[in-house]
Amino acid sequence: MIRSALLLLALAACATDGVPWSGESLPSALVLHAPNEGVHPDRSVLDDPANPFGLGKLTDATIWQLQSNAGAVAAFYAWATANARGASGERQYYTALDVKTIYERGLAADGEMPAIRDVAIGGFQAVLTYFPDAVTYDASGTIAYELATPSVLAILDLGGTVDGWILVMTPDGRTVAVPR
Amino acid sequence: MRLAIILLALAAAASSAHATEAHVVADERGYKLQVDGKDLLVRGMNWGYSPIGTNYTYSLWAQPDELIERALRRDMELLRAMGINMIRQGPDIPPRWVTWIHANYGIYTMINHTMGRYGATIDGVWIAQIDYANGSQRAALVADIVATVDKYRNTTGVALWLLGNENNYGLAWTSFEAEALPTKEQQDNARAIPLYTLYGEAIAAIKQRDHKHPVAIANGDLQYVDLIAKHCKNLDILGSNVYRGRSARDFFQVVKDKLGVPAMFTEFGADAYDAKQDRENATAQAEYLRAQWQEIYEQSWGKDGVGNAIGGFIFQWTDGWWKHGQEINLDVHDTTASWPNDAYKHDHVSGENNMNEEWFGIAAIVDQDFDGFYEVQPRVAYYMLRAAFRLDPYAETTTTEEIRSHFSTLDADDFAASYEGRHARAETERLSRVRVSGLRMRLESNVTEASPQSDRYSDPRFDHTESLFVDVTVQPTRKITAKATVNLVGNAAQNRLDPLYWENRTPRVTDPMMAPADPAAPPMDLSSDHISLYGAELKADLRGVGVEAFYRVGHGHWGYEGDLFGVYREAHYGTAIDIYHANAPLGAVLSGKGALGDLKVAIGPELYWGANPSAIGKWSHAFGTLTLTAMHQEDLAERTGAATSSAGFEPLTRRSTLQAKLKRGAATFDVGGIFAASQRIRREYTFTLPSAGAGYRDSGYDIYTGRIAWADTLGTRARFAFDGGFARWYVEGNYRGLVADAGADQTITFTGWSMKSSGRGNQMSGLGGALLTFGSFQVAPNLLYQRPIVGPTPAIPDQFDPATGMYYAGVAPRNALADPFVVLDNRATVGGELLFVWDPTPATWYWNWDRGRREDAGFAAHLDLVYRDQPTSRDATLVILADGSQVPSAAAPPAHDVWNATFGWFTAAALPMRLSGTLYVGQDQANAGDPRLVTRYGGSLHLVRSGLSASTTVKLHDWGPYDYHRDFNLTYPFQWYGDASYGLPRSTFGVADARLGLRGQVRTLDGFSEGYVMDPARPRTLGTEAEVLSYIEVRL
Repeated sequence: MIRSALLLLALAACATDGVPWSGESLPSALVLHAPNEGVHPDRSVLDDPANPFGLGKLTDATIWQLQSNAGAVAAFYAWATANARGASGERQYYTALDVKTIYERGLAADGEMPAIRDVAIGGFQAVLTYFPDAVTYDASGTIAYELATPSVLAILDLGGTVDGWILVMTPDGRTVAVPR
Repeated sequence: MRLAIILLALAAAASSAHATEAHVVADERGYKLQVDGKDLLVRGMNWGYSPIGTNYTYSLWAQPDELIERALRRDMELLRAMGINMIRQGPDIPPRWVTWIHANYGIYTMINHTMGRYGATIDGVWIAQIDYANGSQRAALVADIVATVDKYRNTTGVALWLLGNENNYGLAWTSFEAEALPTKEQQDNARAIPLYTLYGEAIAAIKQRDHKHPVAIANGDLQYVDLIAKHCKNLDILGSNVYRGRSARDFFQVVKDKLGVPAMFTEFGADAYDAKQDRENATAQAEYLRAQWQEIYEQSWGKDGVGNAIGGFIFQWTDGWWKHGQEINLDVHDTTASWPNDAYKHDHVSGENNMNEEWFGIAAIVDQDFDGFYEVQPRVAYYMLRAAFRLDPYAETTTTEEIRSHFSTLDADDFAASYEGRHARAETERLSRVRVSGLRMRLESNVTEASPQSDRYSDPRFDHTESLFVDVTVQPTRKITAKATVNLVGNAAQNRLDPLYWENRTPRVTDPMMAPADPAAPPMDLSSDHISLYGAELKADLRGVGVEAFYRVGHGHWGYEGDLFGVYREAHYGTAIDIYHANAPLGAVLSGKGALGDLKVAIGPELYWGANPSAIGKWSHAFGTLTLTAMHQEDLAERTGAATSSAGFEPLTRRSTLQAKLKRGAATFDVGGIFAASQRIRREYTFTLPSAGAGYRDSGYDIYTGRIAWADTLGTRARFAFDGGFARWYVEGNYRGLVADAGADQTITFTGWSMKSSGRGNQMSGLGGALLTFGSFQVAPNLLYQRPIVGPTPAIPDQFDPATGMYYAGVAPRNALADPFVVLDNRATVGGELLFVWDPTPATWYWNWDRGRREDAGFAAHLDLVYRDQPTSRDATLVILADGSQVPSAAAPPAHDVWNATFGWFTAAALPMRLSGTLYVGQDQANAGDPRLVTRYGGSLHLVRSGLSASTTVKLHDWGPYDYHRDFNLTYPFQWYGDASYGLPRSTFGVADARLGLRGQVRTLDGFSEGYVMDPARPRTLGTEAEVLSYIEVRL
């Protein structure tokens, strides 16, 4: 009896749509909610109504699954959401990488493309600016790969200008990015 | 109200009183002044009111009536007591104050029109230097004098007219500052004649309109006396500013011979600063004035002298700090002598100045407040003249011999004690305005030891700590006190087993769970912080408002002042703010007084620990037995970072509350409403309901998204308490909308129950308790029923199904950072508390915070049993990482009941020895979600006897000393603390209190302990850590 009364009170007090959660399809096209969405320190992705991950608990394991299987748009939202809740170089890098993929594959309206390119460049630049020592790991979790060099290369690939970093050739012939 | 009464009194006095009449009477024995038909030797005073920092532009009469009355009451009381019967005032004094002074103190006023001595406005143009030969300027001055006479002639209290103020010196001096007296050679009759003819015209004009008040001029000594004789035929009294030292010599004779009128000093006296010895010399000033007044008495009517002295006006009442420089250094009591006068031989040196213009007061100015009201400190001359004036100048028995005899008994040294005593006391007070009010020095050295199963195994064994606390108190006035405590640290030991303490700005962090989450976050670095402000407070009792500002100094709550919802919280934290280096509380409270007595405002960056920068206003008013209180809190910004989880994040909020308290006999009824956190309206949140089917992802729950609505910001609380003597009881009910957060109940109702309303939003709760008293024994049951309106959310991981492309969002316990509300201490609870108390001296009940010092019972004890049935879980708490960042805990503690039993006792049976102790046992949960239930035991013993103080504490399977130990469920199998110290007799260190002490600490470590290093070969072996610390503490 008390329990029922509490439930009624709860529903009465709260503004709710009354529809319980269920599984949902993930978006396949990107519409930017803000000019810097997905670029640290911007956190507007949490307010993006198209973001399927804004409210719920998003685990790292699911993010990697999404990165592998759900397409670049869903993966972008996942990484950007995680990055807004707890920023890291790895999260910023994959956010930018997914935006680059969206740009390259045309997963947004044509009119959005210049802005999406800017977000991709800005995302990679954020890796260099805020997380210069960022690394990502292989599937085993033991071998680390630095993310500055691929970030610089991605910016150049997008036709952008890198701020504060240059590429140099190492004695063994590798190209690496170093701070200017 | 008071002002209205004064105005009414003034009006009444003005309407009923008559104009004062004064006349000069002459006979063969000389001249006398009669006022209102009575002989009156003018014992006058050049009285003025010039606060420090002001100059000639200041006018007391332009100030509020309250200040005028305050100043007059103080000064006129002193003047009347001295024997002064007339003051000299310019024509800016309102007639009503002239009457008021006379009506209340019997003191008359001489109105002094300076006749353009310091410039005048002529036809709307300011003329700085009057040309007395200029016809239009002369006419304007006369007209102004006539207007002045018309203004005052019917005013009760006005006795004389005085024209000018040594205007003859204005013909020779180049500025308005006092300069060397003009010599005979500097006389310039050509320029002086117009001045004195103007005097004559003005006197005639006055006499055409008024015959009730004699007219005097204020000449500079007797310069141009022949011109006065020639051009001022109607002059009644020759007034003169005379600085001839101890004696005016032939002054009276010359006046008699050349003018044939009575003589009156309009200024005379001596300064109280010895230019030769460069020090104040109030005794010399008194001696000059004694001699000068003796001469006035001797030259007055009916004595053996000239018989034409009718009195004088002492120059002056108080020092004028503006006089040297006049527009600069107005708040400096300048000791520069600005003109020479060899008649004051005690400090005269040929060729040097000896007259200190700023030191002519027979009273010094001290202790000025913000309103410009200063205290006065009468000098030696005041006391001596007070005695001199007891001689009636016109009594038949007052002969020349009697005068000489009377004055000869007045020795300045006899009166010096009064002044010097007061002066010394004032000087002491002045010096005490800024003082080092306390010093505390603590020197420690410690040695630690750890077994290989501790990560402290390789730490340094020896280290030391030096700490000095300096209290500085500033008291610019009696009503303003500021105190600051500065801490200086030499070295802070880095090997302490409990590494978080005030002096240690770089505490070690060993637990990996506390590693910063954000690698980009700056590390905490306070290593160079050897000097810090430990605390500060300011208290000011100003007119209309009291101010209390605080920084790391505790304050009380407003729970007993109508704050039913705990908006303004208690802020006494003991050593916790030292451990975590908190900068709280920080802010100020303004308490209205008088008409604003119902108002209180608190504002500050962190009014209580963990608060956002905010302002809180409170209005409370009693209507008989009903008290209404309204409050509003507005957060001004959201604070980032936190020192510890117990003072963690509070979302930006605003709160408005309205509450009423009704007291009828033994019953008290409180009821109120709250409107809070409107900023969170429309924010989304997740909630669950039990599902009829399998639920979301087979969890048994359906998950919904809700939005905060207006109704969620509202709450109410009602409470009824009845004090029936033997049986006292209360009941309370709460309904709080989801975000209608406020503070916990901080008041004590009847007894020291620990189970109280949490004050958090999102709850419905009811409490009730009774206190039954059987003599010295009390039994107090207390019950709590509490339910959140929206329960906690369970943890359901998210899932992506690649086969269908469907995503199932995860659910996590809510947390204060991400969600608009949480379930924490408002979790579902049915609680019962049973409290037993034995206390034969109930005036010092055991729950008083200072019971250890105040309790006086032979034996007192209490047993508190608390059980909480907690059928559901709760949401996530926030934990603090080493870099100060806050993150939600990964999980929430599961549903589980908890209980605690606490026994405390105290005995003063063997005074002066006081002995007290506690025992406790309980089962409780960690904060951050670790499901391991902790069953803990312990106790303490504390002994104080004379200089000896000893205490010991034992804890078994309990959390460590810091908040994060309970957050992360870090327990130790065994913890022991011991401390014994002895206060050395005061004679050992003179004025200092010194204490020598020894402190010990031992604890064992297991897999649940911080810093435990498991030996794989002996995985069940406990670690051990121990520390011995010796200290000496000296207080001044």
